[in-house]
Amino acid sequence: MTEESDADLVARSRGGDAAAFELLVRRHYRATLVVAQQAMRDPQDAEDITQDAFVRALERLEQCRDPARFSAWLHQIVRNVAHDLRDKQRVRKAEPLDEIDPVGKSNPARDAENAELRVRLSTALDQLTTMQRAVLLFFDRDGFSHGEIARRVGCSVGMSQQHLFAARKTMRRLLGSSDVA
Amino acid sequence: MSPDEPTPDPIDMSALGAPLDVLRFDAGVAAIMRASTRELQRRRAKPTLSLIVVQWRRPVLSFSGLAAAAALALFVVPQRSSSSTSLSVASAPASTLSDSASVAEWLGVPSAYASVVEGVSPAVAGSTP
Repeated sequence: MTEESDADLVARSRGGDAAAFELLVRRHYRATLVVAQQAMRDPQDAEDITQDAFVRALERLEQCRDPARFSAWLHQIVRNVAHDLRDKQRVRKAEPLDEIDPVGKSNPARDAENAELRVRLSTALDQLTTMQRAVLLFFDRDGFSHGEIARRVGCSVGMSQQHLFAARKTMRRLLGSSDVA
Repeated sequence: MSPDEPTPDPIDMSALGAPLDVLRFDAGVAAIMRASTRELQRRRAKPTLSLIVVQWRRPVLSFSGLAAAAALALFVVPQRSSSSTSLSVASAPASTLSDSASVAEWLGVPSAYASVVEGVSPAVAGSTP
């Protein structure tokens, strides 16, 4: 099974090819959700803006000047959608009491450490290819099997294993320290 | 990926947020595809004549505007030059007349026709010292 490039899938999606667009969504959904989760505190909001971002991306597909870098373009859309949603929420309501950290529960030092780790992980993930990023997140974060991954992102089980191997190697090199071991 | 090389250890990515299960992933993709149906259909639709007209409306209007402006300019400039030439014929010295003759030459009008248009015969124009 040969893997179609993002550029090919974008070109076919521009012509209204639903299968191509679905494959594009499947490959980028997980990493896009990570970007959305960083932007939104509520997991449901993160899923909503992920879905909204894909629909907007399809509507503006002609504006994607470099289809080979589709993910960077898509992630910018996610950030914009998240920004819009946060603005709307800010206007609509004040922060509810149950979302405020109770006294003694928050740990600024730990939060700062987590935030730094998140940034490092995200930066390293951005260096991977689309397939490496998808496979790594599905396997190491979500616990999908290689069979499940292969069916969902359109590759063979063997290729899924290879992508995982390459992704972990690159991430180890980029992250260096043992924070993520 | 060589067979001898050990597989690197898993990466701890818990800092990136909650994990996603297979069902939620599939539901998310399905929701996106449902929401995209109309846009995909629109993209698949063959362009009809009205759609082509709508799509080309801006360039056609822009081109028409430019063409109209150019036509207006071509219409107004000769009018002005001919009126100024007529005035110059009535009261101007010979040097101005030679200027008006050169305008006619510049416009590609033979001098004989140009003088007819100006309402001045070549003999009259030439008789002024």
